[in-house]
Amino acid sequence: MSKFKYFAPYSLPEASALLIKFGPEAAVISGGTDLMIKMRNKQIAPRYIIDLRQISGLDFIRLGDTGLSIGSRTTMATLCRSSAITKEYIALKNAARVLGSRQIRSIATLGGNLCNAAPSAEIAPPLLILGAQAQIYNPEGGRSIPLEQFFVSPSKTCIQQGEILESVFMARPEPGVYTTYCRNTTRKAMDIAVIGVSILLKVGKGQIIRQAKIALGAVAPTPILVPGLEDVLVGHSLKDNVINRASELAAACCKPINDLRSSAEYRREMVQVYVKRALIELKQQFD
Amino acid sequence: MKKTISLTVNGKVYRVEIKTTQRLLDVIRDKIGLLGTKEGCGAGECGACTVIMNGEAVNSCLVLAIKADGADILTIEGLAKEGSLHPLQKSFVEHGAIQCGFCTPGMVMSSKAFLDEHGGKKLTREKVKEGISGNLCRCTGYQKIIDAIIDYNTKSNN
Repeated sequence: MSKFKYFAPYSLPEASALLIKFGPEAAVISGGTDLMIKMRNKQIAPRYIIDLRQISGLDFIRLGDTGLSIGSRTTMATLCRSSAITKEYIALKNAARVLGSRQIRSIATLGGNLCNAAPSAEIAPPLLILGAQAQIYNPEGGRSIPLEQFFVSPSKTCIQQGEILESVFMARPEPGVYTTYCRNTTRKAMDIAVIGVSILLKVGKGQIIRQAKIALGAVAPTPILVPGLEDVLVGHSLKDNVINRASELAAACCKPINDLRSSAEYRREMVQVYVKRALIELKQQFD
Repeated sequence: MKKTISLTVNGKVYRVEIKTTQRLLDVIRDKIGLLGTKEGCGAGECGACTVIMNGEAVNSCLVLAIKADGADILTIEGLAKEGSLHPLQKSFVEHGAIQCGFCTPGMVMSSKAFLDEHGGKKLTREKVKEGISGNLCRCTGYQKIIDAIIDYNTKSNN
């Protein structure tokens, strides 16, 4: 690992000032599970590391009347255990439970997973279907953007110099919302998703779908939301032909690549399979 | 860049001078001299370096030493009491869950952390497998490790 100077500021303004001062030669460390590996492989060699560990107020899960707010330093292990993550947000727990290993989950943070911006980022698809807003600190007063605008390309987010992801916020889903996250992996554990699928359905009277969102991971340069579901799912009940059309739409919109874990063809095929399975699983919950 | 950190390991407080690039694993082995914790992959994949930090199992190869300032660490050496193996360790021995022994410290620490969280009730083999899924063993095929954990858990609950 290349040498670096280490800083652990006590506040976001302090951290931001350091990031601005040192520019592109500085990196933020949260849990460190991605950063440490990249530094060890010499993929990156930051000369300055800004650790967020001394900054209070970034490690929290708050469920209020308006919605759920999660601090960027919240670990996956904390997410797994939290009773504030109620049934309609369960997709978050589904994802947090399978990220890495128990040892990784003890330290890996939500903010780190998002800012590392792997196309397969585990916690991204659930956050996308839940309509998460990224709350970003900056010295000008900060900004809030929909998470789908957060990711730019593999390993790149919209975070500018001096900005720090502070938290994510999801409005309270209305009654009748069901969510899930599932993924395909080569191994049963300790693996990166070949594909990740997260689905939100809002079900009304007569089991008619009132709202539907599907997010996909590892099948495009960034985690994505499937467009055009309103026509296919909303206003319908989950009959077989509706499920098939939705899964075909999801498969058609993804842009997978060949890599060491899988082929593009298999990924596209698996999107269709897993979207179908997830819809059937959700249907069983509200039937 | 050199710094001094203070951490508690197996109940004893250590003040250690470290380089910022050093990991908790390096401090445990090279500075404190506790060699039970092993470096297998150095990348958080094999679990051989597992220790319990502030109550949770972590890969010590992924924790910068400076981040362990003020932490409470339990390593494999901290399990035995007055020269007597911890019953979980004894269970590993009795069940033949140790061959070359390289994965064993990390495996035992992961098992302990898992049991501390989930141990108070009957455990299925699937649940135990999930619990130790962050630890690789190239020798045993895992079955005897799972036997050891389940047997220990059953006995502790009775």
